[in-house]
Amino acid sequence: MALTRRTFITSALALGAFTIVPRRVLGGPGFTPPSDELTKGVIGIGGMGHWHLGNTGERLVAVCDVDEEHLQEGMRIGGVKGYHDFRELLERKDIDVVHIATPPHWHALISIAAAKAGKDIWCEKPMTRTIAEGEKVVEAVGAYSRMFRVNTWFRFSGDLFYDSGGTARQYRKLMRSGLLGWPVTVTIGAATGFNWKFYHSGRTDLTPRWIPPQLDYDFWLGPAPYKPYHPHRVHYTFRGYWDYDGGGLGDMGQHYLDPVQYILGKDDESPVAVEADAPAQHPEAVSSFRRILITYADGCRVILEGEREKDDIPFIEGPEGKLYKDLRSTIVNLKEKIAQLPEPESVVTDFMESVRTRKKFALNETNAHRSATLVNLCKISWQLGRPVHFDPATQRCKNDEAANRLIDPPMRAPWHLS
Amino acid sequence: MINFLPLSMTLIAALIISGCASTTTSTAPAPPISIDQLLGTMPARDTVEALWLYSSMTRMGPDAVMAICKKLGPPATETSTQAEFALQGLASFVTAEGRETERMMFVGALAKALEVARPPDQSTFILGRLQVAGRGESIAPIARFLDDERLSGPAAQALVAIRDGAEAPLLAALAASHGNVRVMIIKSLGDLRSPGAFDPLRTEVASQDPRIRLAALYALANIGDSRTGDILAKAAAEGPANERGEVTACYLLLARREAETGDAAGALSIGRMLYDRPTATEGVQVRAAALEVIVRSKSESAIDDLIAAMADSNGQIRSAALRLASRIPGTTATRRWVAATERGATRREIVSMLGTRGDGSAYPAVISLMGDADAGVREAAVDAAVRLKGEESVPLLLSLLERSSEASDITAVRMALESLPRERVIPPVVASLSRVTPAACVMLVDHLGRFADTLSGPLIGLTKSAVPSVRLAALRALGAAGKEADAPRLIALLLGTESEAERAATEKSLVSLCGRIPDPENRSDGLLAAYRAATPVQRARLFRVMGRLGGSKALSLVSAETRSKDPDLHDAAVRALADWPTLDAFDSLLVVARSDGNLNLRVLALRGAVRLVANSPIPPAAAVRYHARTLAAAVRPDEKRLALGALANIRTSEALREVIPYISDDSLGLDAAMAAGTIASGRADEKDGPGSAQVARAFIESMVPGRFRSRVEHNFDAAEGMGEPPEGFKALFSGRNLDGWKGLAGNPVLRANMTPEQLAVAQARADSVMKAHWSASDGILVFDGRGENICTDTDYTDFELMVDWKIEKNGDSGIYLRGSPQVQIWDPSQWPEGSGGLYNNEKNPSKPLVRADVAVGQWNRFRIRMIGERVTVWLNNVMVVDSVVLENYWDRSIPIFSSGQIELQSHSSPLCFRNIFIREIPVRSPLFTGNLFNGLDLTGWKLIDGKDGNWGVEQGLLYTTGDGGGWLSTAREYDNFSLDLDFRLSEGGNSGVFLRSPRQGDPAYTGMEIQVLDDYADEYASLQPWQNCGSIYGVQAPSLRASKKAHEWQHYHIVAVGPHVSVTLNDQLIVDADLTSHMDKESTHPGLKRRSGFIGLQSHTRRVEYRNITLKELAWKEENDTH
Repeated sequence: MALTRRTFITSALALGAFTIVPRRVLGGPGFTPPSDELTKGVIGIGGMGHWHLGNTGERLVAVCDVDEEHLQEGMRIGGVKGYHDFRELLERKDIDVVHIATPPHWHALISIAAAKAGKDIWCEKPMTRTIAEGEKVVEAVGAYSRMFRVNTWFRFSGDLFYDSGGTARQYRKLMRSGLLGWPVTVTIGAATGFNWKFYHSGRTDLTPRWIPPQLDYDFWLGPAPYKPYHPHRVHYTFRGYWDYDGGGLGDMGQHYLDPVQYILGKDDESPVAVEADAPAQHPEAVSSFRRILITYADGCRVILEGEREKDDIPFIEGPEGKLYKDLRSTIVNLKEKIAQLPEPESVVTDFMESVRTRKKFALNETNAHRSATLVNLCKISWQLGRPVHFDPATQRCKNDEAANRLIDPPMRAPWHLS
Repeated sequence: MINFLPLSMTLIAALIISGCASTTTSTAPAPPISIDQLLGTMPARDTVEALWLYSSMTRMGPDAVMAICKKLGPPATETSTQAEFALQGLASFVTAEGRETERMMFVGALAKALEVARPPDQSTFILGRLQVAGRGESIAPIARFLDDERLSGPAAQALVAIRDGAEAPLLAALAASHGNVRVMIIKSLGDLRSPGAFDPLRTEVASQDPRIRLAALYALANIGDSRTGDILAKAAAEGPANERGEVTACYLLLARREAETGDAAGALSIGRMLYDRPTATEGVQVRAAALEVIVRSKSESAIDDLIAAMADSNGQIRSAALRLASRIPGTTATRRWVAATERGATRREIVSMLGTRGDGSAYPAVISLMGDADAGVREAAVDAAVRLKGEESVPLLLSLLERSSEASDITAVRMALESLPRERVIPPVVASLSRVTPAACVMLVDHLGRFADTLSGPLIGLTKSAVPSVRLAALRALGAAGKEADAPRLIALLLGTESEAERAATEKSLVSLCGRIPDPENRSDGLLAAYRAATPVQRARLFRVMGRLGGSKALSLVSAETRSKDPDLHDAAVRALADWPTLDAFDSLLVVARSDGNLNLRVLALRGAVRLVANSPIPPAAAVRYHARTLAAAVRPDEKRLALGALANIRTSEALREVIPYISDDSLGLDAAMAAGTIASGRADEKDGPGSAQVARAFIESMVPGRFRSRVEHNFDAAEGMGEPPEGFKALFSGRNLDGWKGLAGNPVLRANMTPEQLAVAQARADSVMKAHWSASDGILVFDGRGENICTDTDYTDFELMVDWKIEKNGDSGIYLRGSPQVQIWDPSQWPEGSGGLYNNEKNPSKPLVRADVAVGQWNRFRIRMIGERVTVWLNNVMVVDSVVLENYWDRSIPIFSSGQIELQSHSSPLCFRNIFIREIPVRSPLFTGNLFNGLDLTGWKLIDGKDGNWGVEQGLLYTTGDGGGWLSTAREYDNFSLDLDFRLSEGGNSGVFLRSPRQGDPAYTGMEIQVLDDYADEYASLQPWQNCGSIYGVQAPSLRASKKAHEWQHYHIVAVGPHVSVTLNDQLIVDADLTSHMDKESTHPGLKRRSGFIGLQSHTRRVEYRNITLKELAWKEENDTH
């Protein structure tokens, strides 16, 4: 059970006063004052890319998109150069951080290429579209000693799941204390703050259309299988297709599941079983689900609740007590008790600080890969229509060849991981 | 779609009974149902139905599968979609454990279906199902497509997914392939790590086609044959320069593969080559990766490389080395690292790493480093010690605090303690309290204060400490950590202390400690017991605590003392009563309000009574009865106005009935009419009828006397919104056209980055979008539900905005302030928290305090005030956001922009807005910090009501001769500040420091005065305490004498923030006042409620000198503003 694991220890100490040397002064004395400005390039500037163009702490110098219309819009920003091919953007020596806001089927390839090029990486959620892609990103980011963050934040900032009434830090303390008993069940759904079925269903009635001239559709597809063009596959609606993402779960799953792994102390493990209760899925178009049950080796469970929207469901339930929204609980004086518990390890919550000091960001490639794995495992059970059993050590399913082929599907040439 | 539910349910039940995993050899009779009917129920609604459908289909055999394949047809037809669902479902179904027979049948049928010529999209689809379900048996049928331009891709991918047996057909297809197909086959052989592909591919790296070259380099590296090193070396030397980066990546990939297959020497040589050979084109990341390869190769000497890397000039290499340190476990490595902590610039980082690396054998070294001369190393050692040994390290951490008072040490230990379970930490911490340095003791006591109900004995002991900061910390901590039994001791301390700070801390702790006694009746017992023997001054202190705790025994005592002959006791009793927490004090308050001889106390009691009722959770009818009694008890019109105002807030008929009789009253008529108008316009109990507005108008017509009518109507119009801006506001929307508005051209960040020409183009486009969807109609700004936000064409900084809005069911909108989202508007039946919240806030509150929306389809009114980064929102006259910081949505790392346009948000639902009025609030100048006196002359000062020559400067001192009267004023006004100055008095000297004074009247009363006086002089022996040096003159006496004798320099530190004024004289805090508790003096001392004014120095009698007059303006708290 989680309590026997090594106690987390607080440390606000800097790992070291290491300083990244911005590209343009490479070869200089090796020390850069923290006030020195970092630079960024944003790849994929259609949807979430807009957000990344804004002030995230670095100066924008380059944008990249395979849709000429997006690119022209981005290039209206002063001092910014536009690229069609992300590999050309990565060749620039004066870029410190690369923001990846493409659809998810590109996240891993671009992350790995950016790591090879010596860029630090700020990647949109979900971190990767498959588990094997996540493994390769972890490998590359580690080997090339890069800094990496995924663009979700509930584990270190704000109210957990928007309105649970507490921060992830508070929940982490509570879970570690065992006050609710162990194992616990965490439920996430409309009743606890988010409707998983929200948006992003694919369509099964797509008839081929002409590819618009401003879009390099073949490059947009990249590693994904070639399918005839239809506008619903691409911008803003691509999440409804398994080839590029996984519906509302792909969109928001990591957002909500990442802090769950953190509060349960499962940042270096994965579940052993996932079972989706859903209508049969089309091979291309994502539809909805009723419930997905995630089980860990120690008996902890996470339920993605697609129904019971109006019920007052306990957010977290253990043998000793229940916890509802707004920190209501069957345990008396819970807030006071939480305040007295040992503090969890402190983390870096400013990515620019990570880039400058080379201290890992709170949500980095390793723990984000584990939370993306939750999403990707759920997608597999959901697609196959059966429970899958997972080995957290090998990161492969047990006795399920079809599931493992979804864990590591081949990419369309010439794209490859590694 | 045909509904087969009843039939399917029966069959499902039968299936479950007979066992789900039935096979084609099952003896169960085939279900009397056709494949078309089964397809008609696609897609299955859940797993049980799916199980039935797929097992029924598989039992029908290969012909059924082929029949389904036949139905793959033109895209987007229902039949084809159903076939797609069925084939995908079957592929999943047959790959489940224990269905090998069904799988063989299924893939066999797919293979046969592939033999039929069909459009490529259909073949692709079938190949995709074989990618799910195929194994060795499917290799040959798939491989047939490897030479097909369109289908080779899906075929190769299916083969790679199947893996076993895929190498041979891919190699066979390689020879004849070219172009895209060749790239794809080479890449697939690489994915497979096909050893047999080494020889065929080694020549491909020389291909003229860059796509083939790069695919071959990847494939060879991924295959991991050690001979590939030479090929890569050649490519690096001879290949195109722009492919060198790819070659380097392939080197590293090859090294990883070599390390995996046990060829450590090969991996190591690549690692060393890339680590030692940094080229101009390769970044530091390549060296970091090379270092990782060296460690990965499990070379014994890798530890040397890591330790050597700590001397590298590049921080990224050093941080990579520290992270890699955990990859080489064991005590031998630990010894080497420990040795590396002896010198060098990176000692601190290595100590930190030893903590995270987790090998306990580093512990003794870490402990000794806690005595290091370098504070950073000590800090890291504390952290490492607690990581390595947890609570075992606590005594040693505490022993550091016996030697050190340095803040960094104390902070490091505090964080270490906070990370440990309390029950293990408390005993050693308590035991150490007497040994540690005072600064450390304060920290430890604060730490203990987090824990309720722990041992309080040591804390009680520390309340006798000789060190004031330790005493104070102990008194603070006892609030949480103390027990009921500690109350007498705390009460004794409360009665005995002369320090203002200790008195305040003790009061607070007593309230929280006694507040934990379960029965409210017993909470004041200790205080009551102490009461008999207490002096009047002490009794006043006890009252203050009782007033916060409540309870009937305390209430009767305090009530009785409101009749005390002792003026101080009498005063304290009324004040305690006015603050009472429960409604049972109401009667006693009314007695005071009716009969007390002191007018100030009467008003105080009346206010207390009104507040108690307003804050009590009682039904409106009951509240009206209470207020009616207050109204009857009030004597003067001013007092009655208080109660009328309270009644106006209760929108019921009962309230109206109480108010109406006063409308004919000469002095109260207008107030009563206003109150009645307010009630009538929003009567909560008016369920039917034409609506509150008409009710109120009719009421005004019929009830309000003519002489008040216009005033009441005006007030009512302002509340109801008749199109005229309130005083001080101007209209943003004419009601007739869209003048003053523009379209939304991107977000503020985008706009800021556009050139003027770009912006002009974007704006023109945005304006045309806006005009298509927003329109002015009969005084209402209407949005049709499509398009973008509408924006003011002016930017605003600080402002107050009024806007009425109306939405439809499920409607959603918002008001952007300074171009940033947003004050939320939405349907409260959909989002029960209601509108008005700062929806996009993450750190600060994002929800409204209460739901104040009216029903959807009716008009709501916002009043939004934004000053600095804070926003206050009233919705329908109810405050829903109370001075909350609006975060910068466009850039979370910076505060909200200082100015920007106001936008009404489009959110795909029709919207109406009207009565859009704005009042701009002048922006405060930046906060000042610096000297008020330049040491040379009177620049920056102005003499008020005095005689020339009365003030002068000599030898850097500002002095007054003290015989001219008047005062010296600063050039500008200040509201919140800390003021430091030195002063020196001649014998019997008398002056004063004025705060927040206007330049009219007696500044001691029109503002306030901090007394400057030689109060050792005999002539002042008979002064009242509130006239002594350090007092807020006439308001609050110093809690102890801190003044020095004449001719000595003395120092004032005066802080005024909102109603809080504190005076520290010669480093002793002697006044810590909350001016709101002195509001009874307001009539004679109006300066007490001023928020702003000049700072001044008084010329009174005899010479007084000043120097070092410095002022620091403090953050202005918006809620104190009285705009």
